[in-house]
Amino acid sequence: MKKLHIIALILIAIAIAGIAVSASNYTSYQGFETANENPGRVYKIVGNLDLDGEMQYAPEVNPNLFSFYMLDKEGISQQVIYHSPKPQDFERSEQLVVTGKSEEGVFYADQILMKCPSKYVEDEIQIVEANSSN
Amino acid sequence: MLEYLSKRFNYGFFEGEALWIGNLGHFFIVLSFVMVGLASLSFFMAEWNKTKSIAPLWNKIARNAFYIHGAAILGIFTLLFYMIFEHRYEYHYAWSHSSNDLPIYYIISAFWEGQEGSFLLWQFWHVFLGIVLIKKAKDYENPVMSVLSFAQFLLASMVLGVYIFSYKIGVNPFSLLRNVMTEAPIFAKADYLNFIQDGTGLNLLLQNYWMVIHPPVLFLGFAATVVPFAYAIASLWRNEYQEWLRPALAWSLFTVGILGTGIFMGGAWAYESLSFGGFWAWDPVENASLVPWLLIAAGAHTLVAFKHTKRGLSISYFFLIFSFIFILYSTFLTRSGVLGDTSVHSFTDLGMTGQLLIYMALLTVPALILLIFRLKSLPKVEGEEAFFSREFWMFIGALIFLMSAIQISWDTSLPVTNLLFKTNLALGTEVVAHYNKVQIVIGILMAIGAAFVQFLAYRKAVFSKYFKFLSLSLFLSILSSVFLGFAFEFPFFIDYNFGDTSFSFISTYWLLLCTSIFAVYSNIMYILLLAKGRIWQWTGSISHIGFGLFLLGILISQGKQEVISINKMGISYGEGFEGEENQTNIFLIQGDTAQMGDYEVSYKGRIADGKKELFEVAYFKKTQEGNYQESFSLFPDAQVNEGMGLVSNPDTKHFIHKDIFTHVSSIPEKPKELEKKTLEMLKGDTIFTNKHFIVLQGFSSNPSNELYVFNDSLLGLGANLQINGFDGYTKELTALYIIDLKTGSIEAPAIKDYKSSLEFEILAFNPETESLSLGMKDYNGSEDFIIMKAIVFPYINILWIGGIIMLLGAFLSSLKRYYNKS
Repeated sequence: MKKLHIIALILIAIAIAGIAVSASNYTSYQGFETANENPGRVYKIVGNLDLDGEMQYAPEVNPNLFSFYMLDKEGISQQVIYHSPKPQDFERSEQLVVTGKSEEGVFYADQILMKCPSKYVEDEIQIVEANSSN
Repeated sequence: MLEYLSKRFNYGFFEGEALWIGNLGHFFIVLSFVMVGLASLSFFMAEWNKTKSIAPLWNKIARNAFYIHGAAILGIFTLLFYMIFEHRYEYHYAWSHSSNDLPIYYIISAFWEGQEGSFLLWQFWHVFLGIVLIKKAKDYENPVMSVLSFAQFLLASMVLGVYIFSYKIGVNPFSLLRNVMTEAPIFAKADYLNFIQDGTGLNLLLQNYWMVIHPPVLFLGFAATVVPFAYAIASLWRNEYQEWLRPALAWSLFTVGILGTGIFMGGAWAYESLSFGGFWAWDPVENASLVPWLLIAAGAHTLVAFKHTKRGLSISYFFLIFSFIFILYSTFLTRSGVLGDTSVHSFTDLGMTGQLLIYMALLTVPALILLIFRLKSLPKVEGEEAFFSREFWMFIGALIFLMSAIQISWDTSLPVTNLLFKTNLALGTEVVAHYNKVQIVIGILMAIGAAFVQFLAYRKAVFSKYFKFLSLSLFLSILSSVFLGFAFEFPFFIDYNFGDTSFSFISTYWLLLCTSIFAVYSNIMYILLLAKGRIWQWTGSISHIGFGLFLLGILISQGKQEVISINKMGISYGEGFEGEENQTNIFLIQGDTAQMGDYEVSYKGRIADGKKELFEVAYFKKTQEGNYQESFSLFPDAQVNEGMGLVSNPDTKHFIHKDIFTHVSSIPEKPKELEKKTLEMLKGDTIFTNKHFIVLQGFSSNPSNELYVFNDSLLGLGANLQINGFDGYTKELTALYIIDLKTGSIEAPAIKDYKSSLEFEILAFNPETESLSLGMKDYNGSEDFIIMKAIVFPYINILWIGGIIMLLGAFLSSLKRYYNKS
């Protein structure tokens, strides 16, 4: 076997090992229940804004503290704290994906992805009154 | 119902539609598809019968079919552009990607905002490259063009929009709105077009001049990968391994340059106009275009090694073929909808997933079978490479490129893995850190390679000859990096954790600092001491100097970036959240000032700019005497957009040694309009605001100023005001009252003092009583606010300069290989 082949094999082994190690950093899509059972582990949670829960944001006191309640896919509602400004139009979001970890029943999100109603809604063609020229 | 349907499909029913555009467009689309299919087949036949007398005829048919195809593509281009330009909203593409208020340059961007338009742009470049090849490829024209035309044939079907056995092939850019949104009740009206006066417009985030220039360059890069691929296939097909090398190498290097330029411009765009504060976010779409670049860059290196040593042919084919396959894969990733939520670059899913997969297979499988089939007959050199030969280390370098590509593809493909294996894995919150951790190590290895490999000789081990150069370069690099390490406070040692064990070792940051400088110094030495006057031997070193600077720029600007908008007020965040990383936004009421780094920063108010609203953020620096002077103002924009939330573009102040990036993260829904106070004042009067008191010190006639020259017919009166802040700030300014005796007009421009956020304007002046009616706006009293973020990127110019030098080196190398210079 050539030295080059040996080195190639070693490099490929390192690549596989590297991927395996980095795989331990992967997270997965779960509900609040799993997140609460494993506090401190990072999860992604899909759900919607819980309109019955209290939403708090006082930028004049702290622009980097936003708190709201979110319903996950299993219907569990939990407080989510996000240390960034409140995303604009947050109330209008149709779906939320939060990434973060649970601590004592509160989910601390590092990242929020919100899906807003698409601008290409099929039956929402913007209609203007025809220009009657008089 | 029947009546309704008959109306719908009756062309005569609807009024005002310009159906000729669509009809002609459909014709051109079908023509382009058929012709490029014919071209591919004819080029194939010309190659197949190359020893027979019929070959020139096939070639003639093929060329003409390809020219007609090109003309048809131009026709589609013109019609699509015309349709958008003329606001023909009866067409879905114009309606969904443009609007009446778009200026001409955004109408060009609207053209390629959608999938269909971007596929057309890609095809346009294939046509361009195809014509260059017809003119220049000579003996290799037929097989190369056969492959290129086949790829183009598949691409052309992406805009076909026809049904075959109820499966839709492609999406047609000339679809009528009423045929796309069949359910909308408005289409029951014959004059529906009167009610659709405007389109939905171009995505606000894309209303940026980069959107005009970045896609054409990037798609030329995408298109260019087909040329090395086609040459690879052609030479394997012919079983010929000599003639193909020169053009294949030149085209590979061209692709490295142009695809690199496209990616690089994307980074510049992201830095300049996206709000995440950086030029690279390891976003799936970015990664998907970086991987083919890494592969073609590796392939270009191994081809150079092959040219000199006759070794490494099979690995070169592997890289050339996979670079193109990964372009197809990136298209699949970004356009099939499989990425879902993981990317900010959202291409809507047009239902072409199956089609994209089939195309990938149609190009990949035959290419790989051909390569495997030919492996045995590829020319080989007996024996092993010498350990200190140049080719040995070039192959190792190529493998490092490959490892980089493997890690990036693997992690980017998680959504695909999830689909295939029914898992639900995702990258965590630290996506950037996740990639950086691995890619920093790869960067270090690449920099070392770029530094020393050129000093080695092909085929023999004469390492000792240049040992002293390399040692000197290494010594200087260590010296410089220790100095820079202290200057920028880079850690020399950090703790690495592997599970439960932890150990301290030299930090990767410092290693990257040292090795990237090593790459720069070594290659400068190579040019100055070894290559001297032989300019064509500089090209590789130029690229490597650029690469070293590029890495250095990344490391310093990103590693030492500093968020200066640290929120110091507010409540405790609770355990685990004491760090500054969660307090990186500042709340600023209009007129308020906050300390940020060396600056005092003040939000001054909104300025309308077309449809956008700019938010003026003024940065002041204290002079040594303790006075404030306005250093500069930045104008980030932001607007609340229905359905998209806050759309904001940052603004950046560029210095030679640093950039100050400013971005609005949140604005109030609707600010109140500020009212103007009217004050009656005599000389010596004082008025008070919440933060200041203002004294009318007196009047001056015809005061000297920058804007007006007063004379007998243009009289000027100045009211001298002194602003005193309760914080000790003082400022004197003069409000002007100008009378033009010729016209009798009176002008009184408002004057604003930025530091105190006060604006004055003389409303009336009574010379007899020497009394003044003064209008004042106190922006300190406004309820308008912004929440903003400011980041300092030190020495980011090294990154841009390094990137440009690296790409310039690639283009020069391409020329060198094409003209066989040495």
